[in-house]
Amino acid sequence: MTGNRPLQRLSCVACLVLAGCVGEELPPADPVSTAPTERPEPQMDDATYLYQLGLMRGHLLVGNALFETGEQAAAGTHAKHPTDELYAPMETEFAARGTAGFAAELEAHAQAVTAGAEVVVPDRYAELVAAIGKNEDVVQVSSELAASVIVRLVREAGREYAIGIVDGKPANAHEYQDAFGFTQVAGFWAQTAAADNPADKPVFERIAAHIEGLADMWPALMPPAGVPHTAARLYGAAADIEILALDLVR
Amino acid sequence: MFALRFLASGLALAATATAADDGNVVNVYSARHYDTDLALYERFEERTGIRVNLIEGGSDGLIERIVNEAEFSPADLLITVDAGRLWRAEQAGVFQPVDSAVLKERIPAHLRDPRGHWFGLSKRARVIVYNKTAGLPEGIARYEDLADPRLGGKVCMRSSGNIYNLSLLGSLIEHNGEGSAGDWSSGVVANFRRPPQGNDTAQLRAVAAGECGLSLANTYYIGRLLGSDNPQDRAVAEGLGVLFPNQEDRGTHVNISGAGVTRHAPHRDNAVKFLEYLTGNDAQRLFAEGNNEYPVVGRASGPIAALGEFKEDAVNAAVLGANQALAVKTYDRAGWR
Repeated sequence: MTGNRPLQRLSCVACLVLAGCVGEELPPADPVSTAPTERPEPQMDDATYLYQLGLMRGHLLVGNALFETGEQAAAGTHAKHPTDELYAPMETEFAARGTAGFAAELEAHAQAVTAGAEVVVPDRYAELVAAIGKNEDVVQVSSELAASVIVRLVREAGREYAIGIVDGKPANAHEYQDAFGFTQVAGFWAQTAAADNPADKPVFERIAAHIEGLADMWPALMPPAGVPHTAARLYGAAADIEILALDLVR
Repeated sequence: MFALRFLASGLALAATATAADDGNVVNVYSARHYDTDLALYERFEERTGIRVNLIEGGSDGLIERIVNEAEFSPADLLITVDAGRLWRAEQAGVFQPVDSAVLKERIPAHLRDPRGHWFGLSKRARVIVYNKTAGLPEGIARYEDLADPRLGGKVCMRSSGNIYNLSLLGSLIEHNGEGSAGDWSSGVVANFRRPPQGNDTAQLRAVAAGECGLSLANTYYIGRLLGSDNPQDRAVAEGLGVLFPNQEDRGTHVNISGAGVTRHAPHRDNAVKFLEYLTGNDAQRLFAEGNNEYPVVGRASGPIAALGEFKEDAVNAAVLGANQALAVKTYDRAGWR
């Protein structure tokens, strides 16, 4: 088993610049008070914490891709999704882990997308992705942990795809797109883990290739009239990855 | 395709693009979580060179996974821990039929699906337990006697929704009919000392402590207490009397752990080999001992051997699942929560 090393910040083709964190600064400590501030206890285990961040990345990734192809309305929905549905429970986790979160970056990015500000969206997206990475970096990521996150993301992609495509026809474009985003993030996780863990590189390369083999499930970001694929393929892929990952512990 | 550009990272990926294996594997989805099972898998690997890939989970979760994975599922075999769940899996289309002379010869007919979809690999009996000091009330010899009004305020049970109670009632429906099973359920409810609560072990502790006069429990829970390193657990077991019901007629209700080859098994032949291996004498001993169960082949070993031999109900285990929905309704009408 490889040693635990912090996961490097995930690379992303759409991230042109990895800016520093622009989150809010904490207020200066009260000079009179000598009692140390106690952190809350994390409520999530590391796998769930990273998985939740992965979901947010997935929403943002597909939103960014939609923005780049001119689908501003759809992009805006995805850009706001992390704030609307995922971020609030994470605030306790950020506090527990001593990290700043990325509420400001989320808001700045969502505003830019909603405003259609083509010039600034790439920078806002890059800043946001960098900030997410800083919040991921507080976790020591083992190979097993990385594999667990990957499996969960692909399995969730299956659940989303099952809503997005029904009987070979698009039923919910947003969920179909979410499935794409989560699968992409799972692929990035596999590629990064392959780079970071030499002993397990062959396993993660197989996992990454397996995920890449799913690409035809999304012939376009906006689902066409007929999509001859089912969520079963994603569920099966998650199971295959789970089995591949057994080699990590042998 | 457009998607590929998002995956491009400059990393040279391995030439093998899929999770293809060399075929020398069997992928087992198992709801059993015992260390002795790991020894079983290792021995199979040593003997056959077939690697066992184990995915563990709860029965219902694994069934749902296999259904969702459909033709893309890598599962070759599902092992689960109750006849009702085997039936549920079969109804969900999880299994394919297997025609194996070895399995037919080794596993008694009432412990395997008549159509070869699943096979019992170990069994447990649901017995009446009573406080040894207080003694077994006179005339109590059958499940049906638990409804005797003389037992008012003496009977403790776990929830009717528990799969083991559902399977037992399924067998009573089969033997006595729906109406009689309903009367029995009502009679037992009338004898409750307290509302249903806790699991089987909780019933055992309550009976041993004298809080309850009688209850029902699976034999492996008794076996666990008997074989425990904790002297308090052993004391609980020693405070219990155990009755194998219905020895003078149909025999005691038994339930099974079992397995079946999945419908889309990518390594079907290996799965059948593994099933056949599990019926071997050594494998049977390990499989059963892992959970203090009775093997389907041969005699019990370990702590439960001390409970002695008994006549078992030979109704086919498939009945237990088939009658499950009716059992739920029957308990509900009787007010057994």
